[in-house]
Amino acid sequence: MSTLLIVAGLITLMGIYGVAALALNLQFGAGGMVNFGVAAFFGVGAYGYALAVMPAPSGSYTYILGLGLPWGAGAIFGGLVSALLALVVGVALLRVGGDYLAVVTLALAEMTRQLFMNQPTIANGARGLLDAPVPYVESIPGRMQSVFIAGIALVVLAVTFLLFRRVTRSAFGRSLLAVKQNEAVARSLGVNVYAVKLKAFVFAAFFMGLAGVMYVWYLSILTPTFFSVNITFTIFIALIIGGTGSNVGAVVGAIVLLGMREGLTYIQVDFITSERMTSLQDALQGVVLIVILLFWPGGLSRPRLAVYPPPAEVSPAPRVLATTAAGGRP
Amino acid sequence: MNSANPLLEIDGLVKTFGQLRALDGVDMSVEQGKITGLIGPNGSGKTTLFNAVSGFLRPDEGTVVFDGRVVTGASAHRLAGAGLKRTFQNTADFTDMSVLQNLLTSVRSVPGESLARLFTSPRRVWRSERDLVDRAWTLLERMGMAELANTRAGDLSIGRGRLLQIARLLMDPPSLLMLDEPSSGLNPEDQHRLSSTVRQLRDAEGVTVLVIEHNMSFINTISDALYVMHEGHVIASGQPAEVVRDPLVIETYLGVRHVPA
Amino acid sequence: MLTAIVAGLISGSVLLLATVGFELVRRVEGFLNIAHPQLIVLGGFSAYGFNVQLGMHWILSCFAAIVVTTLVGVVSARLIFWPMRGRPHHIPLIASVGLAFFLHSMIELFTGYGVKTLDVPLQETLRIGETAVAGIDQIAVIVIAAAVALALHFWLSQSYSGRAMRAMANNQALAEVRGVNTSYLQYVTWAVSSALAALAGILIALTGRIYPELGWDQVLLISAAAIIGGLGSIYGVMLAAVLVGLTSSLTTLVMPSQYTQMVVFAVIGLVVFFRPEGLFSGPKERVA
Repeated sequence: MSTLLIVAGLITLMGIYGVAALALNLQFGAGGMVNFGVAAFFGVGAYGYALAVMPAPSGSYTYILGLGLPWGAGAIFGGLVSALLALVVGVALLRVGGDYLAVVTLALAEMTRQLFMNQPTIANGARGLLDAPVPYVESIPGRMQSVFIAGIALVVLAVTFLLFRRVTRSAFGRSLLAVKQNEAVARSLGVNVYAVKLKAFVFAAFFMGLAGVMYVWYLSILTPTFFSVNITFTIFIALIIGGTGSNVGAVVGAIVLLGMREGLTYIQVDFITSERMTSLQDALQGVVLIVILLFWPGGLSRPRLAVYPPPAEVSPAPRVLATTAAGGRP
Repeated sequence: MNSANPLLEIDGLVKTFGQLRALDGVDMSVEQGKITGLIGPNGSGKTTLFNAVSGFLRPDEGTVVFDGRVVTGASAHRLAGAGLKRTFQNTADFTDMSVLQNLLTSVRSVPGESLARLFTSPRRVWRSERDLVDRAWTLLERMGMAELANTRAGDLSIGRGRLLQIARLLMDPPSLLMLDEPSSGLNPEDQHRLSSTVRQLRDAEGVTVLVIEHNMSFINTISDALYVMHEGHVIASGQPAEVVRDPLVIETYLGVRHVPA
Repeated sequence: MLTAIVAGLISGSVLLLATVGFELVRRVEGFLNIAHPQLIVLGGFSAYGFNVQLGMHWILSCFAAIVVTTLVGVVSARLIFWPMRGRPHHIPLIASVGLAFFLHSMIELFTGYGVKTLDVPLQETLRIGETAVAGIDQIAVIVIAAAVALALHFWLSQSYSGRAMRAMANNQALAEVRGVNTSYLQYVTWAVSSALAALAGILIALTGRIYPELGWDQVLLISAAAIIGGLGSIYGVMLAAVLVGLTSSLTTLVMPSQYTQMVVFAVIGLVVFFRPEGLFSGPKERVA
């Protein structure tokens, strides 16, 4: 039974990391936008969900909203809050471009963390919400609820993967890729660079928020640590291990990184306190990130060229045109 | 030079960078359906003029009229949408895409560009995508590049890369094509192929072309009209054969410092 | 009010030292070094390590800390950032974040968690009497920062290596063509920038307290100064650093200190939105 719960937990985490890495892949891998504020969107989504689902505040907790929505609607609400934040950030920064986005989003995550920590009226301040709502179905016995959550996480991951694959393979995805590879040329072809970037940024942020929602399901508590810079870089590392620019890579990277981290927690040595363990994990993550960037820039799954088969039958039309522009070549 | 039917008219265009007047009141008129050449020594302002006209730089003074509308300072993607497209001096392919994908990037207003339609009308998106790919194959066959369709664009030779740039624009042919030194770095065979492609564009599709060049023989063979720029001014214009005999032009190209009269 | 101004000048001075190094690296190498603020923490904490944990004299500890930090900075450039030349600029940017994580955790592992202070005689003993607005240590910080800024100015404008470095920051290829020994200068850049970071960290440790998270807090302030200073001269950045320090200190007069960061953030937002080229820079040529 406990093994089942551990597996369920792992699958849930996989869903969380996978969805967030897929979203980051659209922003960074496909669009070249360095978003160091993943945690901000993650955390805002999580809080948005919790505040929408919880009943109107009463008793010892103070928080705003408390709409009492069902968890499904709450999850979408969380994603939308995150997308809204992305819209504001994107409108302000994507027109300017460059590294401003990286720095300001990094600061944004810290800012939101401090806001939620220092303003108890929003969501109970630094102590957070200890029994945040998780999806709950009457007919499922108590301990199986986490298996149920793992199932939802897996479904969300699968659907997200399909959505992002559809987007990156479309004309929209091509424009985004074109913008990343050469912004000036993309403009000269009529691509509205700002609009394409903004759409991708906001669309992806919705799913970062959704990942945050699932993290609430996993932990069933919600504190300002959701905004920690660690979250951002865990997602970056997952994507870079897996292969920047590839949707499959994003998911694979999330799984591999998860395995590594979980493996580490099983190394129990007496003199290592949990505080030191966290530091060691951070140090190791930093080293892994640097080593991969230095020696293995493609990651596990490089994005491949999309291969188009030649048209099955050659229609007669091109033959006529061929005489006008073959340029002296057969 | 007064032309009867100008597609592009540039009037008194000025662009300064700090102390430097890169464009110092440029007047130019590009006639519909003709190939107009633009030559001048390095730093004479040719590429700045291209940038200012195509929406990559905002001019300080002057007006640009394209197709009867004032488009001064309009953004590059809007101008491209209106039919004014340009190439860049360095090979400017999307190197990590295949040749065919490069072609697909240049068509706007297809349903697949809308995030919402990807999910609401997938069949329309799929059909337009299939048509687009067919069009790209046809075009590549026309240009003799079909066998390179699935090659990474970054692996092409300079000549093929230059042709790809032009092919990409032909997916959705512009009414004015602005080429920035298209022949530099090409071998004679590729130069020949390029000039015949440009000429066929003019004759078969009615595309107007404005081309910056260093290569005098190339420009002489293809252009119907020629402008010469020096230090931000147009110093001569007219029939190519006449312009190259202009003493002022010869003096400029011999490196003698031009003193405005 | 006066104390707030003094506090602002101090944090401005420290920020100046930190930002100049950050900016030198950005101009010479072309990326934002997110690990730079961690070098500040490293400077402060290694001074603490030598001083408190190893019991060395505090002046000696400070010099040792500068040496250690400079070494770490140069070695990190040599091992991580230089091999990444020629790759897209976001690659070293992300690598610098990895380095920041590594340094931050190493500092925690070696010197422990929480707030630390140096064992310095200055702090308690040498305060000015009744109308105390500033301790000797605080004035010393401002004087040191001003002296360093002046030294930087003379170095950049008078000495050969300083002028060559400015040339390199403007156009590396051109500098190389003109016979500048760029590889030697890159060592100099990283050494100077890391030493300045160490000095900033030591000054923070001398006048107050240091804590491992300081680096992440400083990222925002340093980038704010760099963005507001803009693409113009390095003096614009120095001025911006002092202004950011003053603003963040003066806002504590009118609102709780938790919100200083938000004010700084709002200022960045406004600057980026209305004057993306920075407050103290002329129009820049922008060619596609």
